[in-house]
Amino acid sequence: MHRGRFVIACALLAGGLLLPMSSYNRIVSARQQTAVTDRAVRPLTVSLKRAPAPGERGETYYTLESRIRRQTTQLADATLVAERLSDGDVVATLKDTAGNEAGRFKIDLIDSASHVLELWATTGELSQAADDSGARPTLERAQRQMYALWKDDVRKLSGRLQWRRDIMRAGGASGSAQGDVRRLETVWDDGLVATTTYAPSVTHEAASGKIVHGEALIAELTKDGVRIGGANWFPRDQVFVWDLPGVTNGWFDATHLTSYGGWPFKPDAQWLNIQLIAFYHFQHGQPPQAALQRPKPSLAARLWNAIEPRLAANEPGCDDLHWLDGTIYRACCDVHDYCYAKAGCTSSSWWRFVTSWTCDLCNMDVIYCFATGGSGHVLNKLP
Amino acid sequence: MVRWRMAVVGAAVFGLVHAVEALRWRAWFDPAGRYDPWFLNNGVAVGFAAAMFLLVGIVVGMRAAARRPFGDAVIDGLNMAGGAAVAMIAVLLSIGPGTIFPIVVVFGAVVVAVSITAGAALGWSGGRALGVRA
Repeated sequence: MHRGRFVIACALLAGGLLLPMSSYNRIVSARQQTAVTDRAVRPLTVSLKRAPAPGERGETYYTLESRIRRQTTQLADATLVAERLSDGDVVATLKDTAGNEAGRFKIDLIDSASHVLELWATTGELSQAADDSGARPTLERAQRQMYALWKDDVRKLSGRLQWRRDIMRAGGASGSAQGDVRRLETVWDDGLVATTTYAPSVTHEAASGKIVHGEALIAELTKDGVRIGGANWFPRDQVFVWDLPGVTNGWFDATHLTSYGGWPFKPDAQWLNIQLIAFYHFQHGQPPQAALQRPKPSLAARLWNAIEPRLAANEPGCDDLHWLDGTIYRACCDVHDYCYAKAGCTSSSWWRFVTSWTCDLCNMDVIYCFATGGSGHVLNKLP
Repeated sequence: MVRWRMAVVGAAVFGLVHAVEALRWRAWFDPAGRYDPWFLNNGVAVGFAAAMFLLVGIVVGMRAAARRPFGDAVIDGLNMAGGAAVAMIAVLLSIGPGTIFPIVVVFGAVVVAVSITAGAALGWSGGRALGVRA
């Protein structure tokens, strides 16, 4: 891994740690205005004491976020589309699984500090509330708020609602307002589009001998429709991998961030998209290159791979049958990937009948699933 | 019965189709470059490959229509499909089989066999209807 790129990546990731620096600058500036006297400079060192408040991600993050034009979030039970209007206002629309619009929420920017929140019910009724949260008008927040109001069955903003950190919830509402994100598409300025997809099971060789597997967020960045690169986040192993050919590539995990006490926040799809955009945006001196998903192996490697396939050969979806990724068979492949990852199987497990029946059970399951049109599984006996 | 000539032609046709798809992968099938060039990785690529196999099958069927019965044309098609399937497996192994490769082989074989055999049947029927003679 290139050291310089790693340092840049760390700096971006720790963007949250830079927020207090800008706050500090403002404080210094204010003090200079009130008392213009000579005084010794008070140096600061980066430390965890200056970490941002919970939920805050740093000025760099919000600067990049402010250039998002549209964001589409697919949850298990709804789809949210948030747009930033030309005047800076943010509008989030929620559609249920049937495609019916179930509500619209707007953060109306009066000035830089005060916002008015508006909710349109399906009946067309408009209700308003003052934004006393002090939170920023991000697209993600608007989506989260709309989703929370929908889950709480709130159709009107009123005094019965309560602030819980940066969003309003019904008085007796319990549980998280965060849905299970299946896919998140972020449309940025300059034709950049970042898309993160949830994958229940992925096996990946992050570096030589560093194999990670399990749940993953798979992100991809395109510019004007041309793929620039991608990044993966593996929550179980706390590993972040990225590859933007011609721009930057590498990986790191919590051990690389020990000076920050590990990951200073929990990476999610929202962050992954912004981070991917940041990689390109901060080093976009080079034109985007058409990227290949995998490096072209040598002839010897390909022949060896035919005998002993790489673990990295596993991809999200139906390997070598991606034509069916958008069909009912996708679930069969995902369950099979999950089963393989859990049991430690590889593609060579198909012809190793003697060593373990665990992998065979995974294989029997996927065959049965395909044979039954994506609905059947073998006796629920998967490992 | 095994007709080696047809099998070799089938293998060659598959190799040619794969070569064309590999060369034009980003331009015609997968502009984003999500997946490796492989005819089952993309719907358009499946359609292109099936169309090519159908076309070749039609040619084989029309040649048979001149002086051989319908069954012969179908057997020619099946032999050609067998050869193409062997080539398909070889290509799959060379690019690295995925975690569900036996299912991939079955799907691929069905696409190849149905396209070529249907082409041969169509070609034979069309040839007879047009009065093709040796």
